[in-house]
Amino acid sequence: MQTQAHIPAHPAVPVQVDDPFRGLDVRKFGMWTFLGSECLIFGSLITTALLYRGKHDPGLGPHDVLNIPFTALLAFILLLSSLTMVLALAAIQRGDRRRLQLWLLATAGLGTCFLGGQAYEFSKIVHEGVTLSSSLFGASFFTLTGFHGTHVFIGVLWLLSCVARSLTGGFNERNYIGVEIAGLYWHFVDVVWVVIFTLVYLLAPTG
Amino acid sequence: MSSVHGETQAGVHGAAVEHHTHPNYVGVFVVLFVLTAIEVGVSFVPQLPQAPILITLMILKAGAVALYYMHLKFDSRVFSWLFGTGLVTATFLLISFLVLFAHHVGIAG
Repeated sequence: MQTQAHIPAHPAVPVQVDDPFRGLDVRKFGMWTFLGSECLIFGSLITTALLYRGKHDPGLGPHDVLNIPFTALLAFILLLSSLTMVLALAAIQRGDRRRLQLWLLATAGLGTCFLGGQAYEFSKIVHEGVTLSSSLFGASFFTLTGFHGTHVFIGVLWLLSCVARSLTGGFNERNYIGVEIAGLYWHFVDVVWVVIFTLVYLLAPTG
Repeated sequence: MSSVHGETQAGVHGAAVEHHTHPNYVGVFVVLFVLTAIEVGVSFVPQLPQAPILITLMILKAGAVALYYMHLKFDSRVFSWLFGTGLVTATFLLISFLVLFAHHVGIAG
């Protein structure tokens, strides 16, 4: 026996106008979901770093090896890169592709400076005797900051791919979601560094 | 944060996309810069109550980036909920573990 679905005479079901999911871009939705999950990963690593900050050999703790002024410079660099990123988005929203490319390159350049600075910082700390396997402080510190640095590296590659796509006319004032999503990722990496800088660098040495 | 311009236009898929007004991005950066400078300054004055001041400044900075640079202030509340859920859970995890294990010698070997 075949059943038939009931089709109402007036199929127009009133659309709930206050539906918060209506009109959302699925790619932005996916990116925000991803960033929410990233909070948990970084939260776990930061927690571990805070718990193990005092587990080290004498003279090789956070107070001895972390260089606050230098790391503050890295924090400024990353904050500045967030500004250039958001200016890139604003540029393409105006349809200005040339400024989009310039600001994206500036952001990628600042990200590369941050990575260079982090590599320098790592080399100094390792030279002083703190390594990934020397102590629990070293293991948790390098895992956290290395994981963040990996995110920055991926972000730089992503920004450069946006520049390449822009050069082939991939973005305009009506289609810029790719830049917006890359920007969300980049700003999140900046937010994470704001937290790491305060909790691991500024507060940890006193612990 | 002053508005520069606002507009409504058709998105790439034809759906109406409403553009929020652009905040003063450079102004936000100046605020972030000043807050970071204060943070660093405070960290060199051990007489001050470090944790409450630094954590307050950290929340202000992270909030400014999320609200103005990531546009959570202007975008759909759904995104705020998605991000906020992860953020609140992570904060709960951090505080719980610090309270439970901060003085636990066994876990750290």
